[in-house]
Amino acid sequence: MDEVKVATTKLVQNYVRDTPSSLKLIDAYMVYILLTGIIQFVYVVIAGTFPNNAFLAGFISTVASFILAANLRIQSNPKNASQFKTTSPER
Amino acid sequence: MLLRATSLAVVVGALASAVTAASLWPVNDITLSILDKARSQTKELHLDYPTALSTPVLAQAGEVVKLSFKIGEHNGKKALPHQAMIRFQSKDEYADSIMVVGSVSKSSGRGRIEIDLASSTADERFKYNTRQYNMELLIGGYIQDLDSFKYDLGTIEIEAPASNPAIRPARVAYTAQPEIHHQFRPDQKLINVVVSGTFTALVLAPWLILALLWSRLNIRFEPLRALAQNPKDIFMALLFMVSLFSIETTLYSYWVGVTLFPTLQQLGVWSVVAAVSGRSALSALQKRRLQRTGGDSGAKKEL
Repeated sequence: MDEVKVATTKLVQNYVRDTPSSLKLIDAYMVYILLTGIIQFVYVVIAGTFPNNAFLAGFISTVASFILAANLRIQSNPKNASQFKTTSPER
Repeated sequence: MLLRATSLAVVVGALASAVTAASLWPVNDITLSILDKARSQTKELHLDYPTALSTPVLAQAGEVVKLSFKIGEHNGKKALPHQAMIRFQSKDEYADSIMVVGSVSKSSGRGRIEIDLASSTADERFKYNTRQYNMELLIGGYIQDLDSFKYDLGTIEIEAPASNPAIRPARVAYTAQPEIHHQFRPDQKLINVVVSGTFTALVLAPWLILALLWSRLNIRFEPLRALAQNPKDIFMALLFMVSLFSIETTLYSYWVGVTLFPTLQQLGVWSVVAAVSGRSALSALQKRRLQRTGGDSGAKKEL
């Protein structure tokens, strides 16, 4: 158990230290999207899908936003810069 | 059936309109024959206009009623009728059966009609039960000074088949149907306000988390001073933000009040504005970044 704790601490430390702030920005946004989607899903499990269109719209939006954010993160990552030579940070 | 009714209307109309005309269609040689199943003649009656048959003719089930006539000349020319038909009018039923004479020979002027009572195509009414019909021969055409020919031939008794008679269709009674009451679907039961309110708050809560996380990132904004060097850049940046906001507003208004075409028009305008202003604003941003970092291609690291 301690090993897991050590590994987790190291992971967090490394993330905080080494990740560029632009990626942290996107990560925070992805966490936000993820939480929103999860809460919507939980609500539907509890309360049923009565405004079905509203649920579908909300949930699918979160999924789509998450995917787009993930793509943005991949392209913005300096470690992947060699693969995205033509994309500038301002694109 | 419609054709028959129309034909009848034409003939009747011609009859009515030709009251003052001088002469009738020159129809002669009118012969009514009854043929048995083997097509051998059992009866032959020659009719003379306007004398009707004195006694009813009997046609047994399965026999063939045949009527033939010849149309003579009018003013030295062959007269060709437009329509020729025979009408069977039941004496105890308000319903006519009209049989159209298929064609009248152009060369000889002869026309004939055969009604095979055994045939499956024969009028069903002949097969319900034995009844008497009044027969009438109607001939009309587009020759102005000829009166339409209408000849009451007399009575015929048509015997219904002894076995397997046709079933008379039940008279359709048109009565008021019970009133239809529209049933509206009952309203969907709404969820408890507390639960939905709680979850509304919960769904909005990640905004706080987002704000918290972002605030802890120490994001450095580009100094306004750099942006302010060029008024055009400020204008384009503002325009870009306004256009993005307008697109969001348009989408919101589409969501609230569904009006597709105004939405598409507005989106069309704002997306062009957003594309142009965004391109300008972002390329200006890139230019300043490259100036700052001395054109370093690895500028991504700087962010």
